[in-house]
Amino acid sequence: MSYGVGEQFRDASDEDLVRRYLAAPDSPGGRAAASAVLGRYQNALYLWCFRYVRDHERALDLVQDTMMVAFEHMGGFAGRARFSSWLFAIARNRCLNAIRRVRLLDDGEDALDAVAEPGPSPHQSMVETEDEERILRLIRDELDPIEQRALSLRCFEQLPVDHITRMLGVEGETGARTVLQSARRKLRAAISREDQGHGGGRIR
Amino acid sequence: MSQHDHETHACIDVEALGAVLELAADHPVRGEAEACPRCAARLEAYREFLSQAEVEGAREADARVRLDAFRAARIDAPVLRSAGEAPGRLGTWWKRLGESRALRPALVAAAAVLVAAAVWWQPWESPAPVLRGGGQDAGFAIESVRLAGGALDVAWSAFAGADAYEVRLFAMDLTDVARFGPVAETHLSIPVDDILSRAPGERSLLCSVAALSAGDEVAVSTPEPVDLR
Repeated sequence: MSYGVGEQFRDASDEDLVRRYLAAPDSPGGRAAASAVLGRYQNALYLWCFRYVRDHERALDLVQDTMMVAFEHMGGFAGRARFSSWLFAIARNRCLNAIRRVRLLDDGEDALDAVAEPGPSPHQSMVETEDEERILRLIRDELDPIEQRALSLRCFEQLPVDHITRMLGVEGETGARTVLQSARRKLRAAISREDQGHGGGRIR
Repeated sequence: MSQHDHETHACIDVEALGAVLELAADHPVRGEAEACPRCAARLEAYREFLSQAEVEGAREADARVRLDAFRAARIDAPVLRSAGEAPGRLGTWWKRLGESRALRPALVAAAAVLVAAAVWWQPWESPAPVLRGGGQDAGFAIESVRLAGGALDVAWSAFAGADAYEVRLFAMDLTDVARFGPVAETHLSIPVDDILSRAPGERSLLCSVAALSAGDEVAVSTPEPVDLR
């Protein structure tokens, strides 16, 4: 943030501002540079955190934690990465820690799946162990592109279903929920085929 | 997926997303990332982060005021921190400062000035198509805040398109402690007793006014310090 010395930052890159801070971390100008570079992303951080927790106060807590961690560890940002993705990595970790992990094949958002496939299922062990590498291959091989995107955003990035609906531009009342259910059904079927030796056998 | 070898592929670090996104679309590294479901999801999430797409229910204007104040207090002015004190949440820090009666009015005023600077002056931001908060609310401001006859009298400018206004008081830890209104007028007299009943023990506050249209917040004023003593 500027606070009287910000005009000089208008054209500075994120990485320049980090360098200015690291060159004089105890000076007002250095701190202003650090504040400025964090200020550039505070709205993005807030919106990102709010997506996950859906609570204004919790989102603000996450942003404040992210900013303080970034500020305290700015010396560890060596410029190998872009500042924006370095900061995103911090926020993403905090958000993922703040929410319940979404499992690849079972999701509280997809309760209908459990009804569709009651009782013990062939994929039970994979649900428990989450053999992601095998599932990654099946995602690539078995799902159509929009199913791949939806399931990956849901399970790897843990994004809320309604947000995935908007990102993918999915039409219809149920939005991405239907796409996710379809993707999981296909995955389960593929896993069952492999486990029964009808689809090329087990990978490992 | 011809560009993707899942036997040798190592998913890209989240920190490297920015660099990967800057590669040409036909660069092998980017192609491999786009072909891996996990990497592609990371890239898409990162793009979404940068896009600042609106999220239903988010209160960006309030977040802006409070995060500006947070940075002002925790990053711009850490010289006020006690030696050896570990950085932490704003609430604890503010409360400790608040214990110093001599410093308190000056600190409240300083915080308000910093918040004002944060809200009004954001030279690096490109023009935003969407009203996001105080920084774009030029012309909407508190005109006076004064204590008289046991009441806090607040007056503010009209904001085009607003049909109501809400006075908001923030405590020293910048939490939202009381809201008054909505009112159609551009002034409000609030009995001090009402304030103290909703913010017990809080004598130094920050006051802001939100302009509303059909119940939605369309502008937020720069906060002003209030000392109820």
